[in-house]
Amino acid sequence: MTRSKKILIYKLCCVVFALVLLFLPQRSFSYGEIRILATVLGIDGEDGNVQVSAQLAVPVDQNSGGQASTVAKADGGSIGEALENLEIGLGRRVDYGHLSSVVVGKDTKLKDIVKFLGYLMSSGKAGPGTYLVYCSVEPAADFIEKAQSIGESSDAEISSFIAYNRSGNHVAATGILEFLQGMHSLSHAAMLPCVELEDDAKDAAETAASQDGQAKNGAGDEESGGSKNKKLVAANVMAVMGGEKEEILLLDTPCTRGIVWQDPNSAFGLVELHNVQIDGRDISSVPARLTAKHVKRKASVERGENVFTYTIKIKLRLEDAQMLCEPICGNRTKKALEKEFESMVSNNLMEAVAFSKASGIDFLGIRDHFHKFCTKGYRNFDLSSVVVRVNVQATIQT
Amino acid sequence: MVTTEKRITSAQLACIVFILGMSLKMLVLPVLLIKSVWRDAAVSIALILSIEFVCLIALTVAFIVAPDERFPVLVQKCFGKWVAKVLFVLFAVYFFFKLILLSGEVRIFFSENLFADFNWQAYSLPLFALCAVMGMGTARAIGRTAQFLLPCIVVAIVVLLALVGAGADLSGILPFLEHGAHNAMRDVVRFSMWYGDYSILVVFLGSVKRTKKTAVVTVAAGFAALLAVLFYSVILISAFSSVADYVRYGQNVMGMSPVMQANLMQGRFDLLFFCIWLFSVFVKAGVLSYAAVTFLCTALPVRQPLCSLIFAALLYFVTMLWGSATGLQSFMIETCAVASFVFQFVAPIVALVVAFAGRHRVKKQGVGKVRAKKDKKKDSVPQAIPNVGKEVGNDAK
Amino acid sequence: MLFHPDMTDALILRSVLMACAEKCKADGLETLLENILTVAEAKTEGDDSRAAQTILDGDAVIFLDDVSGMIVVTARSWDKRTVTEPPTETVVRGPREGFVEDFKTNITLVEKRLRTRKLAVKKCRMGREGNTTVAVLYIDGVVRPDLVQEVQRRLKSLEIDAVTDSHYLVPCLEERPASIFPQVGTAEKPDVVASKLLDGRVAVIVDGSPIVLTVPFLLIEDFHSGEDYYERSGFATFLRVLRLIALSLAIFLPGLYIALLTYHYEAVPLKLLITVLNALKGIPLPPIWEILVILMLFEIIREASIRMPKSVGTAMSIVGALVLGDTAVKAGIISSPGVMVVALSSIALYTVPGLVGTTSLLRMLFAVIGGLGGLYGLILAGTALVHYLSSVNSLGTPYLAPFAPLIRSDLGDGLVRAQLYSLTKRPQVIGSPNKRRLLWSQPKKG
Repeated sequence: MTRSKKILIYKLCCVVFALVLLFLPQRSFSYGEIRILATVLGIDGEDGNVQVSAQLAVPVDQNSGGQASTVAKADGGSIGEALENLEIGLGRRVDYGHLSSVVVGKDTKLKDIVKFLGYLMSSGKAGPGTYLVYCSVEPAADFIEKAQSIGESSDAEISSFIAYNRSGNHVAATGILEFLQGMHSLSHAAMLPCVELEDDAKDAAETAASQDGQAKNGAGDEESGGSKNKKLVAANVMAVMGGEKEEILLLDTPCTRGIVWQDPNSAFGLVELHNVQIDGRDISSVPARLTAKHVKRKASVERGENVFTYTIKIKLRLEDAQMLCEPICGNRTKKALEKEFESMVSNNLMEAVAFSKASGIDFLGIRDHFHKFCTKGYRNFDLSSVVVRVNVQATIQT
Repeated sequence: MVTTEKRITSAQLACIVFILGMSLKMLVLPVLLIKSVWRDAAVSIALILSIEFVCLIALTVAFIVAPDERFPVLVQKCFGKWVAKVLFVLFAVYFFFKLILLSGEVRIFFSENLFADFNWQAYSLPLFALCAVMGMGTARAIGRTAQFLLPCIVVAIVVLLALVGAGADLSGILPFLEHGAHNAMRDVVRFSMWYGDYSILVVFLGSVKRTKKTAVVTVAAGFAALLAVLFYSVILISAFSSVADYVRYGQNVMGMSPVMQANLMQGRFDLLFFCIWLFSVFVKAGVLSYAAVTFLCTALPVRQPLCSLIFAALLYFVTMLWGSATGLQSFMIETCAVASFVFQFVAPIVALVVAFAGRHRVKKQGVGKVRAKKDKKKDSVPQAIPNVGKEVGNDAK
Repeated sequence: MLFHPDMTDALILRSVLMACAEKCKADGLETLLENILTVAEAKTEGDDSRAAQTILDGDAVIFLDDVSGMIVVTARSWDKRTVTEPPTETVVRGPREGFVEDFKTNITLVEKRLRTRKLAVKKCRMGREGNTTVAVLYIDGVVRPDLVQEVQRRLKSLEIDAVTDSHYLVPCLEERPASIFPQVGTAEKPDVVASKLLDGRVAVIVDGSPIVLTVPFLLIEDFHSGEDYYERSGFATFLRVLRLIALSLAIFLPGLYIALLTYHYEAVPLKLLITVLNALKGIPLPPIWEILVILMLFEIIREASIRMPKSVGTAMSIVGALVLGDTAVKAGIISSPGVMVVALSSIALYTVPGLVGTTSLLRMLFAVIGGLGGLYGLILAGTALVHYLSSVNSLGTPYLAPFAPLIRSDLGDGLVRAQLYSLTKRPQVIGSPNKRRLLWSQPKKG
């Protein structure tokens, strides 16, 4: 075939291809509709009656001054149907490419949570790294609405908040994949960090004082003043679920801290000792910044007993370095502080272990660890009889 | 008349080996294995890669041993004209179905990850057009294409490695073979169409400018590809070993980075790097097409450009027979598995036989060089005049 | 004496006539030639039939009665441009001489830089009506003999009315004349041509054209500037890499922008995406049409600014920029991100002036492909483009050398510009029989 014929065939192919694409039904200018971006998704209800709510970033004309983000809700018999109804209600396709957080509302049952999240991941709407949080005080829809109203921009405040906490603070975060892995592992348990909107009491007091002189304006002002006084916080509780139980349990603060101590991903943030005695002095709090954390877990069988050992090495930098300034007793103080930190970590973690044993929910993944690394121990595994040891080595950097 | 070297260099061969060893196996294969045997998919993939590596070594030996005659000529001289024709048609059919499988994988990847509506009837046309164009080309053009794009592909792999590898938890693949090795071994045969890519290299036999380092660079490239596939597959398997029901067909190492958890708001730049990696898939499609068309032209009295066009048209129409990509996968698993498993050993065996037979023949005749021992020049430019003469020293300014 | 009154120097002719008149008892052409040579350049020519062509070339011819043959007196004189810096290859450092339309001046400019007997200048005439002088230049012993023969063969095979510019010869020197990629190098500066001749290339100079052709040509040469060799190696390397990045931006940015905004929102950071979508809100055109419209507008403005008279150039530029750019954005016809993308792409285009035409076409093509096929189309098109370039050769030399095929010894002057004194060998890809061009032993310290 001559070159000119080849070139003619190439050109014909290009023209044919372009025509095919242009005249296909799917290409009929459906482009024009800019998709809405979902940044946070909330799930409430149960299978058969699902409510979804989404914080959406809506492109607005720069000159129109419209709001950049909104919250939309929809119901459905299943989560897929609810999400479809969401799009129908909005009249546009929703893009889930920037979905960074999923909020599970209060009263959602465990089996439904697993089902909903499984759907989200297998349909591709949520990526494996999408954050997962639990709202323990109210439905997810209400929570998202309130959180959105205090946000400053079309960003998802919740996602930014979680991302920052995960990287900057000593707080555990969970993704959808992690959660599902935990639920489908042999431990059959998982945990979710909780978030809530906390009243800012100081702001509320100032606002109330300024509003004394304007009491005649009506209740509307009070309400709007009230919503401005909330802030997003990571609650010092974690929700755990699994085992034989259907309901979701909330851990108290020490147990929550224990879980965070054994999480290798939470390696930064502020940690505090409270009410300690160092060199005969009573100190109400010793804040320190965590600079590094290494966690090793080891499953073994010793004298017929399953032994699970945590080895945690942490490096700290005191916020108040004045404590260690004196050359003679500085070193002694440092050792004492290190011991106190070690003791705190160990106590917190042991409390979490105790709760796990008492509730029968293996949220620390001990059974699964034995299954992977100590098959012998796994054969006779019983959570309540596992001996858990915690070895902590704290180093204060000076 | 100025002429250029028509053969590919050893470096280009290594680039092709790396691309062939890696591209198809990182798309959907790990997910299929996970859905089939859960965490034992790691064992399956390790076995698959080991088999491929052995085949690569055999082919490398054939490359070193073979005389400077092209593979079709060697086969014809060794087996006779009609047996050679049958063999070439079988090769062409094998590569044809591999290309159909590759197109199906591409379809799944793009429709699951990147496009809400991905009309394969339309979007497959440019892919097969590319196959037609590359099928009409020369080995030299394919070698240069692979060599030129390799740095981009390697950079993409390294970046993905940095994103995904940091903090990856590989313990999900433990314990190994908890329920026995039967299923893992069975899957090695069932998914045989997804590997055995090195059998394509036979088309380059006799078309490589060999040097002392040819064997080393070829095997090293294959090993690097093996490591890349193994690493990424293990990460994926480890992550989804217990949640195999939820893993999508389009799931791969994209989005697996723990870094991405914090950066979903910052955009999925891992997606862009993975798309750069996809160059390797399209180059592989071109190599498959070239190989199939070459064998068809040798077996049948059709000129290469026309053969390539017909081949591409046939690819399109046969691909459209399957309404869904999963239907295609079922066909490959149920119908083609055993034949493919056997055939991927046939290719290196045939290559070795014809290489040694050719070497023996040439030695007997005492004509030409069998090994490139004396060709001590490094992989270099095609020279119009092989002997470029003496250096004049400081005569030139 | 016969001459063309508009193409000859009257002073020279007067001197010649006076010389002829002094020796009116001239005895044959040779004796007359001796007289004439004291005042002007002249030679004898045996073929009388060439008289007409000689007169048309601007020389004068002298016939003697009853004597065959003629004397050709070189008396060409016409207005020619002075040697100035070429407008398309401006430099901050380095020589600023550029070729002009006069053949002899051009040859002289090259010979000034290569004062060696090995510099061969093979002249020939091309064009039935034009009879244009074309010279093939090369350095004997440095160039491959078969390359010179091939160039001469291709030039001889061309039958044409006239060669009014060197570009007329380009198709016969290229293997793929229909390609949008140039396969023949061009240069307007004698130092650049001299360097290329020293690499082992062949240059073609055409009378009446300031553009000199060089073959073989590699794609990487478009990323080189003559100034690269007059700057420090680190900075020169930085500039070359910058040009590559700029060219990639110029070609791919519009297509990538369209692809991401049409199909792949997730690849764009959220804040940037919202900003862009806010800007696109209310725009009546989809991203693909918007970008194509802006690209066309840009091309129209560019073409018009080249053609329009200088007196109205400034005013029209303002109209183009303000009216078409700013006002159209404010009117909501096009979006500001779109204008920004095309503007950046357009500016980046000119970092590689040799590929402006190619890049303009490619970026439009990639914009269409991005709009129709998204990232899938872009990757496919990129693979096809690389494959196409891999199959192109320039007179036997791979177009993508030294990258594909990889030639390590030539990488020192590829994207990276190594230290000048480390470039001891000529480019291996050209295949010069004389490999070494430099030998420098660094003096020991102390």
